[in-house]
Amino acid sequence: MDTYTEKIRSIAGSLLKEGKVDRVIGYKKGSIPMATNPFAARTVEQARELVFNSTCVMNLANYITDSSETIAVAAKGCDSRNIVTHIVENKIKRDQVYIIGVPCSGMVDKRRIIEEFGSDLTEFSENGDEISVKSLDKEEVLKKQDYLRDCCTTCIKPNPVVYDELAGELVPEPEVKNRFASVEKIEAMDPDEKYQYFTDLTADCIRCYACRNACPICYCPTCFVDESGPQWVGKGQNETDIQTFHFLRAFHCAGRCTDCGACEEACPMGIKVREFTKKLNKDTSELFGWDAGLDQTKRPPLDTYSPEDPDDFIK
Amino acid sequence: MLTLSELIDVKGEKGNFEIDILKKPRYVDLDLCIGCGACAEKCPGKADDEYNEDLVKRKSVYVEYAQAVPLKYRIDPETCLKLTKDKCGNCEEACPTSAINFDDKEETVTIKTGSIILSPGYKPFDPSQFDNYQYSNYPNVVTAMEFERILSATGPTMGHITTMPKVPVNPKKKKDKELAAYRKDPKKIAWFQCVGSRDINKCDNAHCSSVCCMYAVKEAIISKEHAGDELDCSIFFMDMRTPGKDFEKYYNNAQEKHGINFIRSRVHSVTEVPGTHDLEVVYADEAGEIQKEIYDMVVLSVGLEIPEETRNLAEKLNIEMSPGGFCNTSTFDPVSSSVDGIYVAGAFNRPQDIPQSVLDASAAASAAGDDLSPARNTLTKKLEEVPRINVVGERPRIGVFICDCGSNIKGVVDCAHVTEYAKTLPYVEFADEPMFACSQDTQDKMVEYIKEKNLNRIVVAACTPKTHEPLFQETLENAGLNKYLFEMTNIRNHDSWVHKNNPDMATKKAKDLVRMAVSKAALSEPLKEEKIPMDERVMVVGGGMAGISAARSLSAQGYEVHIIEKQDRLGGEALKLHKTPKGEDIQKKLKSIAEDVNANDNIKVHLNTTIESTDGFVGNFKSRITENGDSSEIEYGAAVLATGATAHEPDEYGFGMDDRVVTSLDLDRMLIENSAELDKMNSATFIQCVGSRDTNRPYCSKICCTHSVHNAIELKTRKPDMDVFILYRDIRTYGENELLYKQARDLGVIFIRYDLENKPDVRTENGSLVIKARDHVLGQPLEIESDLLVLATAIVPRKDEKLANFFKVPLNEEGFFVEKHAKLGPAEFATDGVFICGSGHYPKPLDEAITQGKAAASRALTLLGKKDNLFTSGTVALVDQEKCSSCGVCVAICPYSAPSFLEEGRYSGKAEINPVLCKGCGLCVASCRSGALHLKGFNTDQIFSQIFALDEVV
Amino acid sequence: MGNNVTGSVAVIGGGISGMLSALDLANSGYYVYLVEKGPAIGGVMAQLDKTFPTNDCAM
Repeated sequence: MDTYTEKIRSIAGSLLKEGKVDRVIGYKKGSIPMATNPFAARTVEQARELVFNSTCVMNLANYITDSSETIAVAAKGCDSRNIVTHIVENKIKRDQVYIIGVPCSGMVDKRRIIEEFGSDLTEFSENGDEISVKSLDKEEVLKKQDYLRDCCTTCIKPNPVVYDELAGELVPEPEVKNRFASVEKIEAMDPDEKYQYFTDLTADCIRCYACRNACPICYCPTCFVDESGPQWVGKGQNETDIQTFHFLRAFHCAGRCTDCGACEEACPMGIKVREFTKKLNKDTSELFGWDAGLDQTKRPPLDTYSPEDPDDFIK
Repeated sequence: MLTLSELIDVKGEKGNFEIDILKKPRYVDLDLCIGCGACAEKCPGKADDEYNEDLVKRKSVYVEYAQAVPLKYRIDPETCLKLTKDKCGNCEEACPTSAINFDDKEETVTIKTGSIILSPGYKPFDPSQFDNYQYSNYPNVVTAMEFERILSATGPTMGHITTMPKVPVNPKKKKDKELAAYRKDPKKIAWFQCVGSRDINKCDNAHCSSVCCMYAVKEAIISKEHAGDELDCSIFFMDMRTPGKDFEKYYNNAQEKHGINFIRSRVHSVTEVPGTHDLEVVYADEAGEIQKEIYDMVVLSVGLEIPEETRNLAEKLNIEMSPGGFCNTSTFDPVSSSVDGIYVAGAFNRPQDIPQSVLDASAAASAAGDDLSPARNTLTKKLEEVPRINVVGERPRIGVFICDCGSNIKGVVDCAHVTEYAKTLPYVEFADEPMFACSQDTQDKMVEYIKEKNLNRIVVAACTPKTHEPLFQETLENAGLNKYLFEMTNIRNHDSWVHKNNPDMATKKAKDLVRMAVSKAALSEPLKEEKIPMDERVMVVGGGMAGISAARSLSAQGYEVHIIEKQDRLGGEALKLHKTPKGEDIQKKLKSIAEDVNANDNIKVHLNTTIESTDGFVGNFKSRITENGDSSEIEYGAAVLATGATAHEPDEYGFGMDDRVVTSLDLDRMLIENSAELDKMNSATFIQCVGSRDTNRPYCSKICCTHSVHNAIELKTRKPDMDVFILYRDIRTYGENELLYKQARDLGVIFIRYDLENKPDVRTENGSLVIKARDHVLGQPLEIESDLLVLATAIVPRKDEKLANFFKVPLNEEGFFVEKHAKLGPAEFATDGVFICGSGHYPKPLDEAITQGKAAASRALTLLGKKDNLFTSGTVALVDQEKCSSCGVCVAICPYSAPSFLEEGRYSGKAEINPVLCKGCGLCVASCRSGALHLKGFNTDQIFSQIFALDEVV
Repeated sequence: MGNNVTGSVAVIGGGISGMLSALDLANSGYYVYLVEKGPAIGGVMAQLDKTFPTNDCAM
């Protein structure tokens, strides 16, 4: 996928040179192996720092909201879907954003690599379907396909759903067998088990809100957790407050989440935050035939009412 | 309001009537009675309860039903022991307000009025005269009205269906006891349609009662809901008549979803199965075979008829009656009786359902007002305004009133204890325990207390704010307090009524509720109601008969009206029609009406005009129109949408291939032109439901049956030896149109039924037009050679999404406009200031379109009458723009289009609420993720304070 | 007819039609006498359980 780098640089360079956009948002190499950081290039020189590889996990739609500038974004399938959501929710206008579409073959699960190699990675590179990883005491060439992030294995739109220009050939659309298998497992639990499951899941949460900050659709000027009048949730490490935060945030994401995985990626404690949002993705998909970020003309199902809405839950 | 009163005589004429009214004694003083029920508790008298169709007993001193208006008791002089035998008098002793007056006398009062509206209603047909249904003898044969009470939660069995409904629940008589032993939950119920309707053999009611098909379907559906799916419901009918809006879907659902059996047969007789009280029903099925079936209960779908006393009254007033015994009205003045200045509404006008009666009501109101517009506002009273006290910044001083509601609350809740408790709550200065918080003397006292104790917040713990909040708010205003400094909590419906058996817990709950209300009231602030400026002009979109009627009524009451018509002349679809079913010449009448409209200074007609855009809201609309190519702008305060509907273009039965195949409107054109072609023809065939009641258009077009039957008569009258056939699915000549159906049969028109699966086949053979169908009586295929084939085409809505969008009004699946309320708001939209009439709402004949036009005008008049008095509500949503994320959920979710985005200024792109459009429903508040929306009067801190107050230990 | 007409209307019958006629008239500036022969207004509709086709409660 790193073949895209050159193409992105050249598109970005000419956009900036011609003054078509004020900035280009992409990724820049980080200071340690397997780290790429979101980066806004404002000059032709900075454009040369842009990279793209299988570690570009953060969602760049997060950096384009509430701006009067014209912005170009290197967008994977998930990023593009969040741009669509932003357009629907008035966070940016379509003609304000230049989408450099990046067909995606999936991002590598950094957490698993570190687990298997120990934390001291010294080198990471990729070559087509293979990735080579070096740590202080180990060196291996692996199949990228075996080390994809969970959200990438159930991705339904690896190609950008909307773009102005492509940085590479579109990839074949995958056939995802059952993208909600993980949710079904939880659904099958009895209430006590479920309660225990979610209690355990959030036990490590330190309320740093990194998940929220990484999430492109968490853009409220004041998040409910920061509100003091009324104070919806307490500020401490109370179990109820922690759960309230996660559940409420998930509900706010219902019908809007693209399962991009940025939240999980950002979590310093390795909490599977997607377990919350994924259930609501499943519900909106099953009840409303809706997946977020595919249609610039329609609002998410929970924003609207139609007499045909399913109401079997009303007895 | 004059109750227990009857009109006895009318003198004078239009504009100035003198009416004698006989007031019968109530024996209870209306002003003193507080409706507490102490009298009825002590009353030993018993009488049949008319409200429950005599299925149960009531006391001699009674109110008809719990929600009665006025909620005042009455003594029934026929069964009261004091009045009949001069014994007893318990009620007089029990009454806490000395309201009982046994000396009350009948009196005659004379009132002076400018117009009279007669809406005396109907009476359900009494089936006891039919010996074949044995209504009087068999305990399991009931009328639909009785069955209605059986289904009702307030009825004798609280909605539980059992057999032997006419036998008392606790039988005393020996015979009743025997019958009660047979009581069981029915497994099979049959409905017989047309009992006392469409029948001149056993009774004199030739008309169709219009409502029974639908109510029978409704009763069957509700029965299944109550008794479960196993209940077998069968409806025996002749023609299923479901021509109203959404009726056909209801009928289809009854068959497909609810599994109700529909059997096309008029039942011959019913006999009891010996040894049981089950009923054996003998009938001929569609194939002509005799069938026998046993049912547990039979419900007679009794028709509507005008009672003798009403007929006598009509005779006295010289009001002409129709052949069916209803009031005679013309198509073009559908609510005017034959006497000038006397108008009619409801079932007295014609047998009709609730929405139609509601339209009649408004139409009659506007017609009655038309005559009197010079005297408008001369006899009504204006309220004085009390200067407001400013309470902002003051420490809350709360007054709490704990209502006993007679024994309704006090009988369960320890109100005295709750009152004492209320005094201990923060900010409470004063607490009192009135017997009836809503009584006039309590209102007066409340004003005094507010002034004396300097109270600035009031809490009433009583019944529901839905009915009583406005009363208390008015009292606050009379004391100079802003009406939003009031809080009501329901310790009756939510407490004493539901926790009857748990008085201790109920008292505890009442304390919780009061504490919560007090904590909320302490945080309440005075809210402002913004005045809405009102442009008194009205725009009527559509110059068909409905629109014209609306415009004429509005102009008669002095308002300026603009009619927008996209064609080059007024009249709409009526321009294509020949005669009304009553035989009136439509074109002639239309011409004179159009002349009248053109000569009217108050009506400005814009022909060849379309609307390009519309902005604004109630009182303040603005539209850009293009008239003959020129663009201009008009401003107005209310709009009436009367855009009508069009005829369906058929694509079957050889239409367009053979010139002899025409539509109903083509035939009307030939009749208008008095075409010589018609005289050459020897036969004509009509096919009904062309494009209606099928999968594409699952609705009935309502007018085509009557239209075809009438045109068939027209053809038969022109040329009696002409062979005329009508191929139909159900003949839906509802109301007195049924008489036309009969006339057509008498004239020799042949009716052949077909069903959707076996539509007639039309082809040209050797130059002749041949229609193949199946004779439903003989079961044989038959061929009709016809010189003319008339297709009764569906009425198709315009589905005008652009217009719907302009006025923010909804369209249904088929493309008809959706009115505010199917029953009670049939001539208006949920959007304030926008009204609806004509076939854009649903297909309808001329008289109904005109009625709806007048009704829409009447509804608009009530709005225009509020000029200078129209205010927004104080409880509206408010955006905190600092917190708004511009996501637009509120804009998308609001059913009233109140939120929009600011277009300029510091908060450009953020949401704001138009308080005029906001109904305070709170949808936006709940849906806002960013917490930017607040509902005034229901602030988050108020809600939280209530929740936290609930947690406190008592 | 001139201006000397009486600005009031008598509505005979307090069923659904009568009640709504009276309301419309009162709200557009006319004094209304609502005359009902029974002890309370409401008419037959008050006796109905539910109404078609929406199955709304008649009360």
